[in-house]
Amino acid sequence: MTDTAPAAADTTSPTRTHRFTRSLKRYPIVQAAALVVVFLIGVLTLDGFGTGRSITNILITASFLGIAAAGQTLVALVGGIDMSIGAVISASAILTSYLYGGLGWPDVAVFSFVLVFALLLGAANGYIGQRFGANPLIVTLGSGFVAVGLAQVISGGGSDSVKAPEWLGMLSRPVSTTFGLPVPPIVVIWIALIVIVMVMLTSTPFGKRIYATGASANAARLALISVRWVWVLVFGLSSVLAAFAGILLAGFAGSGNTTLGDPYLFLGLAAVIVGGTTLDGRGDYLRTALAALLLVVVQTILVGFGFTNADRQIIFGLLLLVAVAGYIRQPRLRDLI
Amino acid sequence: MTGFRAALVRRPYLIAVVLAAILLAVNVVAMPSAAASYWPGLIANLAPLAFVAIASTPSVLGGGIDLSIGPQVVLSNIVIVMVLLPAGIDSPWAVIPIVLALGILIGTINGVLVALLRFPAMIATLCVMFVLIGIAQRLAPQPAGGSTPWIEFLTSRAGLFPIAALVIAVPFAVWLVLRRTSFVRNLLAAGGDPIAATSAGVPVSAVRLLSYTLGGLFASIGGLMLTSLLRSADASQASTLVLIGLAAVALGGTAFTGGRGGLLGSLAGALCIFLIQNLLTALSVPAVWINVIYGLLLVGSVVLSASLLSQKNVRQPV
Amino acid sequence: MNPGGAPILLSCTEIAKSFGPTRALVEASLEVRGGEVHAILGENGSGKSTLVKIVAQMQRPDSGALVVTPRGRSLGPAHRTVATVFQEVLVVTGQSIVENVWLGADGVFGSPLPRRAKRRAAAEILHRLCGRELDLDAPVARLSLSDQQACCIARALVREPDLLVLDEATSALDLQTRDRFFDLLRELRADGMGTVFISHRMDELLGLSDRITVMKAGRTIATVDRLQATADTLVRLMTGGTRDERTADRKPPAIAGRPVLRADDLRLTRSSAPIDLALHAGEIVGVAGLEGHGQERLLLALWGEGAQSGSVTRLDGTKRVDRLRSPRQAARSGVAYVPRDRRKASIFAPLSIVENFAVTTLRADTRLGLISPKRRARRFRGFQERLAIRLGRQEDAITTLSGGNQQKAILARWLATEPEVLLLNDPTRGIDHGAKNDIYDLLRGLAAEGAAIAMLSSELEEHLTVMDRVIVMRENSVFAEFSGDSLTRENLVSAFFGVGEEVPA
Repeated sequence: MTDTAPAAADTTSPTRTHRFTRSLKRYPIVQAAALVVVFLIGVLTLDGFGTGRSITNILITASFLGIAAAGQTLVALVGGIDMSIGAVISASAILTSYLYGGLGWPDVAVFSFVLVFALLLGAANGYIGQRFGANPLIVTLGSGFVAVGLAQVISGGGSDSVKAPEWLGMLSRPVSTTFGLPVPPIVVIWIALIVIVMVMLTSTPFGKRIYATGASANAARLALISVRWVWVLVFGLSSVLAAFAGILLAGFAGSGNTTLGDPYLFLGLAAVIVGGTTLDGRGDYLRTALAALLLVVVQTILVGFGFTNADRQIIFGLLLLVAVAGYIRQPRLRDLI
Repeated sequence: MTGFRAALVRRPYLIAVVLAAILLAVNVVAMPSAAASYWPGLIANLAPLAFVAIASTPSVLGGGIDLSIGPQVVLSNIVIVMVLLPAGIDSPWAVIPIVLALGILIGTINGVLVALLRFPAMIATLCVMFVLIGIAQRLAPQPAGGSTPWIEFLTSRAGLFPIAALVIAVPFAVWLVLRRTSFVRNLLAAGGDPIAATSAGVPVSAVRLLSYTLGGLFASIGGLMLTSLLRSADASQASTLVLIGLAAVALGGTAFTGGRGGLLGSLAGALCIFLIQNLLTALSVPAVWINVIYGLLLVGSVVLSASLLSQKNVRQPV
Repeated sequence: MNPGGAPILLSCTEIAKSFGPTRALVEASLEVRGGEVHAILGENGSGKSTLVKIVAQMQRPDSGALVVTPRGRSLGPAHRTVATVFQEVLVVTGQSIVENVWLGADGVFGSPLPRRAKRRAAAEILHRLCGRELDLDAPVARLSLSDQQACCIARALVREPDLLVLDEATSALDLQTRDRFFDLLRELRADGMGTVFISHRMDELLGLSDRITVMKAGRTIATVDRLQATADTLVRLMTGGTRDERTADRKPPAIAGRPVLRADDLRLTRSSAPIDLALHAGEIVGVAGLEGHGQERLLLALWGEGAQSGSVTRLDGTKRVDRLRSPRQAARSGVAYVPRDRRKASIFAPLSIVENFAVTTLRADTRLGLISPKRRARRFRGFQERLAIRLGRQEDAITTLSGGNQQKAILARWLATEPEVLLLNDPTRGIDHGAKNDIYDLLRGLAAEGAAIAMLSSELEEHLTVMDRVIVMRENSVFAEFSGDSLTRENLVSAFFGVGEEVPA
């Protein structure tokens, strides 16, 4: 429709400021800096904030949030959203405690069942969203209901007396250690997950296809990437990661219930957004992980200052709004004609 | 088949309306012994969900989304119970204007964020959702009772006639008036094809902004109904209502890409969800199946509506 | 010159407009009087679309003056001074015909005209345009494309504009509708309405317009009275009157090698004429035409995508023959397609230069599931030298490159698949001179090695200097083909505008 060529970026000489803004785009410097600053504020203003015990607690909470937000990060990278994460966490926790505590299945069978269940559900999310062009928001919302429902059906309504494996709970006890290290295993698991996901995103063909699909599904198609497969795998992976979080959470809480995962949906989404992963294929999991830590530290400080849960929500919403104001605004319609 | 398909494309709410009718019939059959007074009560119970669905609709029609509708309904409920009534403000002539104004204010804030400041709708309203839930919890840390006779009247019945039906009719009346102006047409155009609409001179930003305002207004009426039904304030339902409300909108055939659908579909969608729940309870089907059926309905309806639409809106390659 | 001393409706003086580094308008001046149809003529990239957008007040000029003087009649509430109809058929598919006609006429709430008056006005204009009664409440999606465009025209006309802007608005109309529209336009002209008219049909331009302004490279270079203009003089103005200077080092018209890709009875749209053509090893075939005439569709169809009917066959030279049914299959059999819009269709902004390069050939770098950056770098370095890609580091973001170097990296992406047939969609669009020459050299080299290349270009110069033969597309079909001595500027531009066209189908 227009005679004009798209504006071409010039190769300008990489001045110092230029190079600085470029590395800001590439590495989560702002998030890391914010984390350090906020942490220091906590140390300076709150007694006992810098102690090992408090840090361990922060790390445990952040681990759950971070693992729960891993899938959302991948889904956001391909331009989708997964509203079923909370439900899948709840469902997995219910199933884990029921199959283990109620039916007495061995651990491995329990985990396999739960993870395959999640994989199928997530893959269906991705397939339906891509094949029919249905809004992933609604599709995953629906499949979330299905997940919780099926978990309830299987467990016959579930009862809180059913327990998850004992050793699972040990993974996230503050007093637990890992191979002699003074941190609970869940923190190590989370760090391992960060490494694995980052390697997947940066160094595997699948990772490159995820970014390409998110940057432009059309260009990806023209570069012969099967956008459908990418969606199926990414949504499948998202559910599997959520289920993983659910299993761990079942251990932490001792059992599962239908609302166990709900906070992790919205907080996880917030971590992805604050981390700077946008719906157009920019970002990575390290950013989300740092943001998860940042959010937990902010929460902890707010608690320390005596803010109630309600106040924290308000501050949270406003902070989030400010955090995203800078970089994800939509183009003017007038410019699209 | 093509005729049926065409009818669905033109009137996407038909699925939900037919489904709701069937469910209603099944409900009646399943409960032959229910007293005549049982049915009006159902309408009152339906009201909060119906309002969440109706209030979520305008922004979706304009191509946006409002995740903060559930919290808006809850907040309006809490403001009535925890702020207005304890302060001695209990006359309908004071309470109703205050609550509606609050709804309009919150809706307009959402609208400004999305339409003028150009935040992605999902993220902006998510942030507003956090803030509203926070305010709600602050005002009502624990569930607390409170009501006045005229509020309770809203979910009572006159003879066999449910007053709630009249209240639910209010947004439809507003909508009918708006249909007589160019607003609804503009909104559907802005949602259906923003580029064509802009090029034709439709004030897309203004129309989108007002769609959130309208949602806020409807949500505040929903808050009145919730208060009437609960006779208390309860902040805990806010985030559940978000999801169920959107589910009802999707079930009602309103396209989440914008430009297609209407309030009637959302009401029918809400009715379906409500009737399923009611039926399963009445048949003493284990409650656990309810979620599964919700979910499948939701996915099914969004797939159906997306595939009905898929052949349209095809532009020449640029 | 002056049509009856009519008032000046629109006057643009020395308008300039740039998009980033691209100067779309350098200096454009235009004057439109009441009661005239003023045509703007120019080949692709001459700036006419930008000028029209500025006249339609959809874009602001960087400098220069734009004055619109309404006629000052007393008019209905839906009145607009300037109304525009675009080439793209901009109907809102979910709405009815009458809703589409009056779309956007009302403000947010207002409905200043009574419903019945609206229906009457819409019915009247649509009847004149379509030659029959339309069901005003039927969904607009049910209409043919031509009738949908008639709705867009009606949308402009119900506003009783002082100035009507038609940006290739007639290209979607069928001939009868077009003629009815022109009759109506003549009446409105007699009433004093001014029209800015852009069309790809020389016969339309000469038949309808009163004055014609010719544009070239972002400038308005002449305004001529229609009575003094002929197709030849206009073509000469557009081409700048220069004779062909075909580069001396150009090889003689290629002796066609064996055919490697053949299209039979290929229809690009349901109503377009079928195309038969073959690409031969070692030749560069230009695909030319005014924008929007199916050039891109043709390339995509040759890549196995989007054809309405007919077949595309890959001839391997030895004996293998593949019917191409999908891009994936096309790519497997050695056909590569490089899209035109770099930003939307080829580069992946979040990825680095080398990652963008490797995205179609990820397997070549992968060992044990992990990408080996060393292998990838080595592979890319070869192309980097061959295409003279100038970059800082391979790991920099692709967006740090200039347009030309981005395009080279994308070309490398596809060359890495070792294609035998290259389909290039305007590869030199918006890139600098040096990079263009690098790409020409590359293409000549590839052709000499036996590749068959089809290249869409919106620049005449390229067709004259780079191509062995050029096919000119009109209305989604092949209109003419030139090679050797017939490949001249005048012949191409004449063919663009359908000059020499017999009775239009």
